[in-house]
Amino acid sequence: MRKVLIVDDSPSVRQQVCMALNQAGFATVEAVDGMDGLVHAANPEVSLVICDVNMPRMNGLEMVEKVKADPRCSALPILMLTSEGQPSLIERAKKAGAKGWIVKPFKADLLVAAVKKLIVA
Amino acid sequence: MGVNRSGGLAGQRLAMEEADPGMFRSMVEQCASGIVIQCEERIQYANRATLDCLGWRSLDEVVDLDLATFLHADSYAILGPSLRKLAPDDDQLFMGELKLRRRDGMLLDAEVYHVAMPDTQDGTSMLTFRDVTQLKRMEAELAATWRKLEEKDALLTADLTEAQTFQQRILPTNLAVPGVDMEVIYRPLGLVGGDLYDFHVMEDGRLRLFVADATGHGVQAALATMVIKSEYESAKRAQSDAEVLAGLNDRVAARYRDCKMLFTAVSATVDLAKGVLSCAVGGHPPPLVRSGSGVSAQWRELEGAGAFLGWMPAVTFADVTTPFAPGDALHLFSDGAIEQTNTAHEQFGYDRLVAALDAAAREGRSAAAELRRRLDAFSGSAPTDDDFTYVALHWLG
Repeated sequence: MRKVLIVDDSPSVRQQVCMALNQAGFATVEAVDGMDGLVHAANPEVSLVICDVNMPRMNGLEMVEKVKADPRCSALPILMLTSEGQPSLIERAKKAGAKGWIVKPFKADLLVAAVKKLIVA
Repeated sequence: MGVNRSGGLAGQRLAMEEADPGMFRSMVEQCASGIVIQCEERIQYANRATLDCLGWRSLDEVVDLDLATFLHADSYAILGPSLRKLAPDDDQLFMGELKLRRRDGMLLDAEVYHVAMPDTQDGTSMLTFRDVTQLKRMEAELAATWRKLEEKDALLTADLTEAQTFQQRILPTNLAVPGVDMEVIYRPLGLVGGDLYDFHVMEDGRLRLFVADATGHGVQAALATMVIKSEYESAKRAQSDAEVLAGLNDRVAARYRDCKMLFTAVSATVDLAKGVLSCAVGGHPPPLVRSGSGVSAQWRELEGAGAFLGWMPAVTFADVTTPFAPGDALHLFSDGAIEQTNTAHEQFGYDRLVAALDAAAREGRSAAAELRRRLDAFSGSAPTDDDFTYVALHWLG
């Protein structure tokens, strides 16, 4: 089963995302910040990363840059899931290689549609 | 459909369009969500829902317009990075709430989903959106109403907490009498309740107990207990329990005639010197007396059939008298425990109440603790139905 890595320091957001994806048939794995996410991203079972921006220790944008620089996981598609909507942050994430930007609160069906699109692609 | 064929509707959409172009066009046109296709930030196509929502008459009016026409400047800036394809595999994915602009300049809140069109390399992308302006307005109104309700609830709770303090002040605090052990359970349904109990040592040394239960629950019943307590203070020095209830009834019925202040009550008096217990009952569950302890404990119910109090004056009550010896116990209670239901809608009932008191007596445990434990276990997650009061007097042998 394709596994989605969810990186967010909010347990309730992780829970909501997991619930939406699990119901759609995806396995999930959770990480609590960018540092933790970086470790899990190297897991070959992970097919997609959903990542918050503002997190302690290592923020989401730094994590995206490091994932993309790591040959073990540079091909992983990454979706940003955040309450931030600043164009400069979106631009930076996109330049770093993020595949998309989702502003919270998210709609579960649209999130699943986005995940399916990226994983199938 | 006015779609730029170089960007095209590709993949499955293209296959479907080619297989049955009429049906595909009809589906897109009739879709309840807005659908806009853009290339190089110029509008290539907008479906009927988009035109209706944003106040345009026809597709011809919008084709080739700047996409910024449809969006508030801040929202356009947010969407901007997603509109431009940076790499061949850039999906240009964006999901979030943006402000759309109608032709008349009015702004709408919309949930927007933006994604690259499949099989295109030129940045052609599709925006689908749903107008949530009304929904957000309703959510805001609901949130404001909820906040007001919370404020009112906080005020009400503060009032009730104060009322609870007043009500608890009218209950006796000193139940210590040499040779006697007293136990009490006082459980109002809410912060305040319609039950009341009292205990005092009379001038001649007899011990008088009183329990009353005003009809109803909550604030009005709690206010009734204040009245009952006030009038009981004037009536409680009567010689017999029947006179106590009659005096109390006359006062309440006369002074609060228009208030429909109905209540049940029991007054019981223990004369330790003579070894006699007397009581009078007005519409209330009859008291229970236990004689002896351990396996030889015997129970008897003190019959009393007086009427409810408060509805009319000049009602008479009957005294019942029975021997009371060291080791005996008197139990008074309101009907709250008897009528408490469990999740299967069964009542706790009189038999379970007696069984709890009997088990405590036989095993030498606290009657109140045993009754509380069994009542809680019985009711489980079922809501509490009524106020409950239990007062026991154990004559230590």
